[in-house]
Order: sequence, then C-alpha cells, then structure tokens
Amino acid sequence: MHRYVLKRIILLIPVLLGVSMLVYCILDLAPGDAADILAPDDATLEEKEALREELGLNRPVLVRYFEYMWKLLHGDLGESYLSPVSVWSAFTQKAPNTLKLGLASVIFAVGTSLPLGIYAARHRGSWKDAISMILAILGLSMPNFWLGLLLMLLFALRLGWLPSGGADMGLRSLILPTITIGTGMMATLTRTTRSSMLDVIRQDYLRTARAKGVTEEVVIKKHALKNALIPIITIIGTMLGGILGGATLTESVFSWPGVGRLIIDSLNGRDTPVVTGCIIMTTMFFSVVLLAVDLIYAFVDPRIKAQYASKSKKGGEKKDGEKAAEA
Amino acid sequence: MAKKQQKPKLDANGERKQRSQFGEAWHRMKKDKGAMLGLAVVSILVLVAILSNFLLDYDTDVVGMNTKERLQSPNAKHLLGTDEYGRDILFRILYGSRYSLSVGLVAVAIALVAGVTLGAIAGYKGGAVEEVIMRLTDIFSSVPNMLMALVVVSALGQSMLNLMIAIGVTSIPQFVRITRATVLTVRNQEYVESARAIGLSTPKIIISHILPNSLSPIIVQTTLRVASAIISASSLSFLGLGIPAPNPEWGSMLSGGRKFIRDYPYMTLYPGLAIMITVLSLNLLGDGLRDALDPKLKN
Amino acid sequence: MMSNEEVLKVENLTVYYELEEETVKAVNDISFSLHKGETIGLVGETGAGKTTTALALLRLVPDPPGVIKSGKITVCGNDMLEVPVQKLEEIRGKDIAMIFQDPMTSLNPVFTVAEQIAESIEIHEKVSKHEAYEKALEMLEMVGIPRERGGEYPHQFSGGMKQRVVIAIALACQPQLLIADEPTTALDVTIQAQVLDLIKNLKDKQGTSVIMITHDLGIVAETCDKVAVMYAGRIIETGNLDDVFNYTLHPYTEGLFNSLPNINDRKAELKPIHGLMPDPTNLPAGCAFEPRCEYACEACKTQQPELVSFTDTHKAACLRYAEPGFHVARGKKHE
Repeated sequence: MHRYVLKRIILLIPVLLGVSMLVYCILDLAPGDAADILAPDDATLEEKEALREELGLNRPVLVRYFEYMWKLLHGDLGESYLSPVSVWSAFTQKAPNTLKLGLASVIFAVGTSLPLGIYAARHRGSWKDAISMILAILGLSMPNFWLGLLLMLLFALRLGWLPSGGADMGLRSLILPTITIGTGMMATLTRTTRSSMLDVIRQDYLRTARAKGVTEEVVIKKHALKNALIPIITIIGTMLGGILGGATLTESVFSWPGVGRLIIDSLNGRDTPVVTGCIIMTTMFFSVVLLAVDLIYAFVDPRIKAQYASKSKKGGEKKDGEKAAEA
Repeated sequence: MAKKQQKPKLDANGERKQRSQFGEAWHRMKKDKGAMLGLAVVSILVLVAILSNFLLDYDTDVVGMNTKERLQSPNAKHLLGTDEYGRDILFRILYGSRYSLSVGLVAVAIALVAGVTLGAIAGYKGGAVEEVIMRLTDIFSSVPNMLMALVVVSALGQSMLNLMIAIGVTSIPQFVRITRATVLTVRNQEYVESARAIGLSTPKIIISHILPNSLSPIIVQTTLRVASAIISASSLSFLGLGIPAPNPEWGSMLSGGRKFIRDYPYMTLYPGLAIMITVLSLNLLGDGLRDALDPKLKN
Repeated sequence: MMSNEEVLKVENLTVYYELEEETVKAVNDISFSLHKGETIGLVGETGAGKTTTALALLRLVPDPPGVIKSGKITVCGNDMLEVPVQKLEEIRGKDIAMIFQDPMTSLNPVFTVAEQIAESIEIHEKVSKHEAYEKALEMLEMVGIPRERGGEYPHQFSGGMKQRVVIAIALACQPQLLIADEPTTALDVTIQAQVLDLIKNLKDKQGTSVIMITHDLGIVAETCDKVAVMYAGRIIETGNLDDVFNYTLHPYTEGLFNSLPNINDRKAELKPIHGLMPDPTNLPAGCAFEPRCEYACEACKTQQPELVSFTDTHKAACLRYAEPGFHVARGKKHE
C-alpha cells in the first residue's frame, strides 16, 4: 500500500515537468513579450531592446527554457518580469484567498447536494424528484460568470445587502462568490448523488438487510449510503482539486484577489514566469488532491484497498482452484 | 421479478418488425419530454445560426453604431433593448449564435477525431503505446481546463480559429479516456475473439466490431462536450481572450455590459440567458441520449 | 419430528406486478401450509412465480410495481400483510429468514462478513455488540468457515463460501421458518451437495421448517417432505414426496420427470416439454398448461382447473380427472 502511494507521488514529477515544459513553450509562441509591456509608450526600439537584454528575453528560447527548468528543479520558480517579486511570493500571497473561496464553495455544494440527491433518489419518479432534477440541470447549464453578475446585481447593487467585490468584508464578501461557484458544483453533485443512490438502492444486498429485519432508515443510511458515497467522494475530490482553475471567472467578476486573477493579469502582461509558476502550483495541488481522493476511496471501499495492496505484493488475488477447494 | 416484454409490432406481412439498436433508442427517446425539448431547441438554434447570416446584415444590424439610440430599454422597435453603441441586442444575440455553435461544434469535432483515434489505439494496442498515450493524456488533464485554454489562446492570439483549437485541445483527454475504456471492455468480449479467430485484421476489427459498440458513450459525451465548449468559449470571450469585439459573441457582450449593469442590466441579462438556453438544451439532449442509448444506465 | 403446530399458512395469495403498459400476473391464488419441522419443495421453471411467493411471505415484494392483490399469509401466528412495520421488522430475521439465489450480490461489499451476521443478532437478541460479534463468529464456524476470517470482506470469499455466509446470516437467530430460494443454482455442482448438507444439518439441529425453492427435482427428492408444483403462478399439484414422485397426477409434473435424462437408458432420446410457459401478462382463460399438454381436451382451453383432492395429502388441478379412469402415463394410481 505504501509502495503504491510512493509510486504515485514519484509519478507526479514527470507530469509536472511535462506541464511546465508545455506551458512555457506555448506561452513563448505569443507575439510580444514583457519588454513590450514594461517599456513606456514612447520608448524607442533600441530602448526596448536594451530592456529586453536586461531581462534576458533576447536569448534563444531553449536557453531560457533550460535556465527556467534548472531553477525549477531547485525549487525556484523564478521572478516576475513585471514586478520585483518572486513568483513564489506572488503565488502564496493570492493562493489562500482562492483556497478560502474554494473550500467554502465545496462545503456549500456538498452540504446542499447530498441531502437533495438522496431525497430525489428516494422519491424517484415523483414530482419532488422531477423538480430537483430540473433545478440541477438549470444550475449546471448556467454560465457561472452570468450567475455571479446577476447575484451581484440583485444583492449588491440593487439591494445593497452584500459587497459587490473585493475580499475586505470577511464573511460577507465570501457569500456571493461562494454561491456563484457553488451552484454549478451543487448541480453536478446532486445528480451524481442521486444516480449513485439509485444504483445502490436496487442492489440485492439491501434486500438481504431488509430480510434480516433492519429498519428502512438504517438500510438507507448505513447500508446504502456507505456504498453510494464511493463515487461521490471521487467527484468531490475532483471538484476540490479543480478549485484553483475554476475560480478564475468568479474572481474576475467579484474582483476577488486570488490566483485566477493573478494568472489573467499576468497573461495580459506577458509575465511568463508568473503564469507558468502559477499553473505548475495549481497542477501540483490538483494532482495531490486527486491522489488523496484515490487513497480515501481505497479506505472506504475494501475491494479497492485489496487491489492496491495486491499491486504491491504479487499474488494477492485468490485463484479459482483455491476457491473451489475452500468451498 | 418477471421481465417486461415488448409486444412485437407486426409489419405488412404479419411478421415481427425488428428495430435496429438505434431505432430502439430513438423510440425510447421520443418518450422523454426533456430530451425532445432539448432536441427542438437545439434545432431551432441551428436554424437561427444559419438563417441569421441571410436575414441580418452584419454591418448595419449587428455592428453598426447608432449613438442616438444607445442604451434603450426593451421597447417595440428594439425588443431587447440596445447597447451602449445603439446596437440592437436581439439582433446581436441571434447573430451571436453563429459563434457559439460553430466554436462548440468545431472544437468538439477536433477533440472527437483526435481523442477517439488515440483512445482506440491505446485501448486496442496496449503496452508501451497505451502507456505513452495515457501519460500524455494525464499531463494534459492535470491542468485545469480553463487555465489550459487561457494559455493556448493568449499564446496563439485572439481569433475564432484559435479559440476552437484551444477548447478542442483541452477536450481531447476526455474522449481518449472514454474511448479507451469502452475499447478495453469490448476488446475482451467473446465476439471479438471470434472475429480474431476467423482472421479479421486489426483495423477492421476496431472499425467494424469495437467502435460500433463503443458509440453510445461517445455520442453522449460529444453532445455534453459541445455544451461545455460553448460555456468555455463564452467564458474566454468574457475575459477578453476569445472572439474579439465588436463581434457579438455572447460572452463578450456580457463583459461589455458590465459597466452598465446597474442601470441597464439587460445587456448582461439577455446574452447570458441565450447561453443558458443553448447549454441547457444540449444538456437535456445529452441526458436523453444517454438514457435512450443505454437503458441499463437509466435510473 | 413433526408436530401439528402450523408455522406457515398461505391462503389465496395473488400478486401482480403492475407496470406502465401491462400487468404481470406473477402469483395467482395459491394456498399451502407448512408445519413445524417440515420441508416443502416449491418446484417450477423460471418465471413460475416461486420467488415472488417467497418475497411475499416476508412482505418484500418490490412495491412499486408489485401489488399483493389478495390473500392472507400467517407466519407463526402473525398476519404478515396486516402487521405494522415495526412488528414486521421484528419478525423478519427472527421468525422467518430467507436465503437468496445469488450469493455474489447478496452481501454488502463494504462490511465484513462477521459484521453482517452480527447485525442480525444485534437487532433481534438482547445482547451487547461484543456478544453479538462473538455469536457471529460461532455461526461462521458452524457453517464451516474458520472464525479468523470473520474480519474479511465478501469479495475475499468464493461463491460457495459466500453462500455459507448468507446461510449463517439467515440462521443466526434460529428462525422457525427458512426460505431457501434456489440456494445452489449459482454454485458448482460439487459445492451444491455441501451447501445442501449444511442446510439439512442446521435444520435438523434447530428444528427449522424449510421452503426449498428449486427447479431441480433431484434436490427435492433429497431434502423435502412435501412438494408443491407451480406453473404460471398457480399450484397445479401438491402432496407429500411419495405422492408426487410415485403417484404423479398432473401432466406438467409428468413432463418434468420425463425431461430428466435417465442414466439407465443412455440411448433414449431426451424428452423435453415442447413450447414455453405462457406470457404472464397475457394468461389464457383456461388451463395455462393446455398448449403444451399432450392430454389436453377442448374444455381445457376455456375452463380454469381447480385443485382437487385425491387423498388426504395429494391434490392436483387437471380437468381430465373428471373423467373416470383417466390417469397420466407415469405414476401408480391411488387406491
């Protein structure tokens, strides 16, 4: 089991290297560079060239790339072209905000969708089910930046109850962005919960439980739910991991000082190191969360645990001949 | 529990009429009101996209500025109002459907062709080939979609083609995974062994036997991906990295309307509604297809 | 050891599955009873209504779409169809227990086997969790699984062992009535004998009455005291083992025996019953077996045969016995 975890962590490295190479090279294709942005409007061509030389931007791409990778392998994400800060500090300044937003959204989504999904599954076919599903599909069809703007229009601009942007007002600032991101998640998760519960509800082992005299409530809450949660956990994990990327639009709408906005501003400013650095960090976060989800999955589903355990030591599976002898 | 038995329909000769697999699916889907609604709306949108080129004049109706009529609320002449340049919002929305639908369709077409090919090869060949393809797929999908598309677009420049490429490329991993998964399941079935036993060549096996059985999840995924491609396209345009102004792409219309949202909210309201209706109908259709093509999955 | 205490009485049970477009008439007006210590074999082909009958006894018929249209079921003195849910849950697992057909899907994959057995004990007996777990391990030993394996999960066991666990769960609280729904159908032949033996031993030890649902006459011969043959949701012949095997009355029962290969006459052709069971959504007005029956007459097409007593114990539903002297080819005649 531990060997499996270790193996997964080690595999992350080539993935991250691959990602950084990919992103760096693609960005390099872009016309113009940081020198164009930084230089004042009336700068001459020579002045721009001088700036370029100063920043080291006139060297061939391979040289720059290797220098970047070399630094990366030493844990150095480099420095921003546009401002005198290291990429690392730029990232760590904004990351907590995005994480806060992401966590709040996931909690909101999970808290609403699990009960709703279970409810819909139990009342399958009734109007309660139909309404839940209609709401869910509306929720995930709505572009979240539109929802954000509408919420902002109603609650901030028209009613004035909540701030329309920024993160300065603590919890109140968090509400609208959370609902914006959370709605889409809630919609997907409700559907997943419902479908997972429906799958489990028709399983024979529930019938066995009832035949034992287990009360219906325990059948659902203990026997069914534990099985239904398995795929749901994976989805939650994927959502959590995708937070850093998915919050980009909402951060833009609500002027939330997070990683998403940092990336957009840096893209517009041709600040390649910051963009690459942020994406690498985001990817790493995503991959780590996915790994954690896989492990939790194994913890909850004993069949998977057995698979992982047997991958580390050969011959964990029973052979059919053995089985016949045992019976 | 006894199985529900279909009463066989009789044709002119009094013999049982057999429906093909897709015929059965269509029959099932007809009963699904949501799916039929989705199909209807999507068809209407396609019509709108095609016809708006003929019925609307780009220069006057869509981008022509008319400052006298700026910022009007919905009225008889301009059913959805006008924007800050006096342009009719309804006309712009109708014309804008062209961008959303074409980006959605082309992006997914790119992803489909590339993804299914790679997935089929990975699934069928196995071994090193499969490893390489799957690792590359992992790399691509470990970067959150939106970010990847952002990077590609900002590198290649703002244009509709680049948008299609960016979104298409980010959608490839899903198709690779699904195709590979279904190929793996199907490959081990007995009828494939039979095909091999009678000596069919590998490409022929893949095309004639494996792919037709993998079609269902691919069809469903395609429909749903078009929906998410449209959201991605409008998201990128909203951020200013998609289809450039003054083209009436719905996302960029939303972005343009932000400044005026307090007093003239319909510049943001209606384009967003258009996006939602389009995506909703595609999602309904995709769901309906999924239920119809594999009733075992239906809950 | 038979006593006259009646453990089960089924009266005029009718169960339909009401679907969107049609209604499946799964069980049509059946009646039978079982006394303490008796084993009755419920025989019939797939689709005859045996499993639905079993589920009805526990009130586990999926509802929707299943509906119990009429009838009365009395288990150990309890009216199963009227009893409130709480009492029902007390009875299930304690007075009446069931072994399901497919061991592969009957066990919950995320709980250990000991936990699943212990749960039954915890619910019905006033013992602590720890004691229940201990008893569960004892049950495992009783069914031939070493107690050390109690902490393992279902997927770690083979089919035969899973079925043993299912049996352990069913018998954990020593029920008076055990329903075994084709307990060995999903298993290898070599395992079948072991599982049947196990059921027999436990039944002897605990004095359980058993309903053995099967399509295999060999199993009936080995394990049952009484037999009820079902066809298209009806009981068409019932009697004790000797009656049905040696004094066979109904043409269908005869057909079942005839379709068995005879090891003494290897050269003979196999004699299956031609045709198929009728569509339960579209049952004929008369005798359901008529299209396949070699003794059928005109009246059989329109008149529904009723169960008629031939001796104290032996009944059959066939119109042709109204004619004096009629008997199917197989089987001796009653005096």
